[in-house]
Amino acid sequence: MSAPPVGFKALLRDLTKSRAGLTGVSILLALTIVTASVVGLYGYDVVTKWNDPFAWFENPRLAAPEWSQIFYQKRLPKTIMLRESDFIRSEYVAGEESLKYVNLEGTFFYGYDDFPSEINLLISGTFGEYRPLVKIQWIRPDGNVVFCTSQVLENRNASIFISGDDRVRENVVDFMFAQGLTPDPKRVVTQVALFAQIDEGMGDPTSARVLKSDSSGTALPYRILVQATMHGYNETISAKLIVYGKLYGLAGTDNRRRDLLIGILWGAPVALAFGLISSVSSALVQTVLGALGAWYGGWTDELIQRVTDVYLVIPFLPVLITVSFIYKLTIWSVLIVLVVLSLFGGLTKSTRSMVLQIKEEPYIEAAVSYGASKPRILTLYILPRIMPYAFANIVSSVPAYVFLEAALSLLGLGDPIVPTWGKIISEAYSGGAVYYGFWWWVMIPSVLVFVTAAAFALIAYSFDKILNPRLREE
Amino acid sequence: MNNKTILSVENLTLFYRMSNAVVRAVDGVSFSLRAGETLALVGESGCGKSSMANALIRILPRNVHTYSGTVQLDGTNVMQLDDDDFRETVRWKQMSMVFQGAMNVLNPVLKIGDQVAEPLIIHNKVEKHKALHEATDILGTTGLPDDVIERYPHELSGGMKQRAVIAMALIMKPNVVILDEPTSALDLITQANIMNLLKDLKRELSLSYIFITHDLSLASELSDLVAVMYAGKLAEVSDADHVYAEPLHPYTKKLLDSVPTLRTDKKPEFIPGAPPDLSEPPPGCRFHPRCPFAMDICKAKVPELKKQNGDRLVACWLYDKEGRA
Repeated sequence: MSAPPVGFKALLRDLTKSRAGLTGVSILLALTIVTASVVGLYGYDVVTKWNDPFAWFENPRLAAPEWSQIFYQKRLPKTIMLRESDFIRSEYVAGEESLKYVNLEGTFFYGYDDFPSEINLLISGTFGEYRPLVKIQWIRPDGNVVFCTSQVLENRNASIFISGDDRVRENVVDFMFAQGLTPDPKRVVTQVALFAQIDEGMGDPTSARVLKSDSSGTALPYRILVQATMHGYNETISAKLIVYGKLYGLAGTDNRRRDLLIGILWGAPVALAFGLISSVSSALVQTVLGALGAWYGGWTDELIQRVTDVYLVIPFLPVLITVSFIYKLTIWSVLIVLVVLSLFGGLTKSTRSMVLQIKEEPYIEAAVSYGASKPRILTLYILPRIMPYAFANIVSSVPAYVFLEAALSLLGLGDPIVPTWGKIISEAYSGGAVYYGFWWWVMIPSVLVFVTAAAFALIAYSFDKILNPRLREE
Repeated sequence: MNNKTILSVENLTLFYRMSNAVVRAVDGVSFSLRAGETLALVGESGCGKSSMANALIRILPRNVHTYSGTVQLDGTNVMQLDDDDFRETVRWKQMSMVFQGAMNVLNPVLKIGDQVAEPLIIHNKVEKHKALHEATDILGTTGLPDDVIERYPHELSGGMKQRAVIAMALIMKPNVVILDEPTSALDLITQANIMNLLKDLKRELSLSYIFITHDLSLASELSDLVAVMYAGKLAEVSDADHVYAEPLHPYTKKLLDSVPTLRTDKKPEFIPGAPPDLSEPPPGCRFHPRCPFAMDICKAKVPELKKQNGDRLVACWLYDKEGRA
């Protein structure tokens, strides 16, 4: 039986000796690096961006993470974006009427096994009193031309949502009838029909087959043709096409097209800070109060113990829920309420019992005899003895607070602004992620909550072995 | 040795309050100690030896019933000082203590240097590095190497710990050191080393010891005077040479008979009965229920500590005219 290690370095050395401790420390280190890099790379701007509904329109909605392709047999599409500069532009001015015709042609290959989730065409132009007329045609690799829409631009920045526009859909249905097919107009899905081989099932996502145009196949690309008629030679127009895929990034996207990776990365520092601050502060306060009571005794002890008794019967979670329901607290105010609610608690009791034992030890008596004052004995003789246990307690209570934050968010009482893991899970829940199978939306934050909790649990487990000599394996 | 008296104790009394009884742990003890002398306080377990040490240095538990008497230390009655004055002027500056069981006397989370320097830092508000310097010196005096100041108690052997505890007791250069079983829980070789160290220190620093032990042979090593304590009272106070050769009090005789001897056939004797319950001590002489020479007067009247055979003091009716009559 060897003595407990003295000092932080020795503790860390002993900790990394055991496999559990090493795993825990590695996970924690990784999370800390992520935390540091997230704060360093993105800064707090990300939080504003996270809540801005217009910042994410280029991302697909509810896309799975890219690496999840390995689970699917067919190749899922990624987002294809044709920027303004990707369009081939040709324009000519027609005489004195000062009519200006602009043709914008975008081309792209499409070799995936599944259909895109959405198609959006963004048109921006500068024009005067008379608005330009825009005609959009979809030219398929098989040579067929689908007339999509022809409309007058209402705004300088217009978005023609091809996959959702009713006029486009009617035109696509007309195209199908013209091919001699008999589709059920209600069941035709625009973005499917535009990319499908011509057959009876082409409008229906369950039966349609993709008309591929990668270099191995027909080699002809898909083309979109935007023809604008403008009323002045100095008027301009440009287009941008987004063919939304079904895969995105490392963590996918949610129903508001947000890159979940950013939310999840930002969740790491929040979870760590929340868990550590709340457990450190409550454990330290409880330890010091317990030691104070046991050492000074008398009415100090009585007061601390009776207040602890009261605290122990306060229903913690209901009070927290009530407070955050009434005041709509941010996560940091919840933290303060949490610490206030755990100033006294179980650790006050267990520390007291330990100090009652320690204060009878001869070295305390010796210290009294050579004149050490009561506060000196408390800080220099008693507290260092119980600090390792307080420390182990801190580590083992972190997971509880990480879970608590997630639980509060799931109950809708989380922070309204900062993205946290619990909040992402909560949004996934209300977005029906479990029902519709958007697994990444639920799984990734849940796994991270679990991994963080497990890291602290592993460290606590090996701490216990180090600090409790009877559990040592040597 | 005819030095001035450095410590004189008159009628020192310490009673503890129990739930429904009063324990007379130290009951009217008087003795005096001259500078440079050693008084060995011997007796069975539970006879009040450690209580007496605690009463002298005033480390009292909460349940004190009576604490009275006079303790003249270097000419001042320290019993009249209040707790703070006592702490500031007496403890460690004039009188220090080496506690029983060195294993547990050192704070396990303090380095030896810091621990030994503690009294200096507390009392004299000495800066830490100076205090550590002095600690190194005094640790050297007790035969410990310099690097020990950087070590923790669990890294030291029992003998080294005991040396460190002695160093801690000496760091403020007190006149009187109370040694409460300083060698208990040490093996015989280490015990001998510590005893030699204590002798050397006494000579070099002209210390006075109050040496509390239950081991009579150990007491003979170090002591000039031997005080035999029984059930909270002193039975006999004699110079060391005479006590062993010619014990006066029957209890002292019995105690000496119970010491095992080497190379003789004599079986160690034991004293019949057990030490009395200090909450209800027997009337008269407290030893009378176990005394082979008990007389009627022993059961009725408490014998006083009286001079006998020169400077020797004994509390027994056998040596009193009133008793013999």
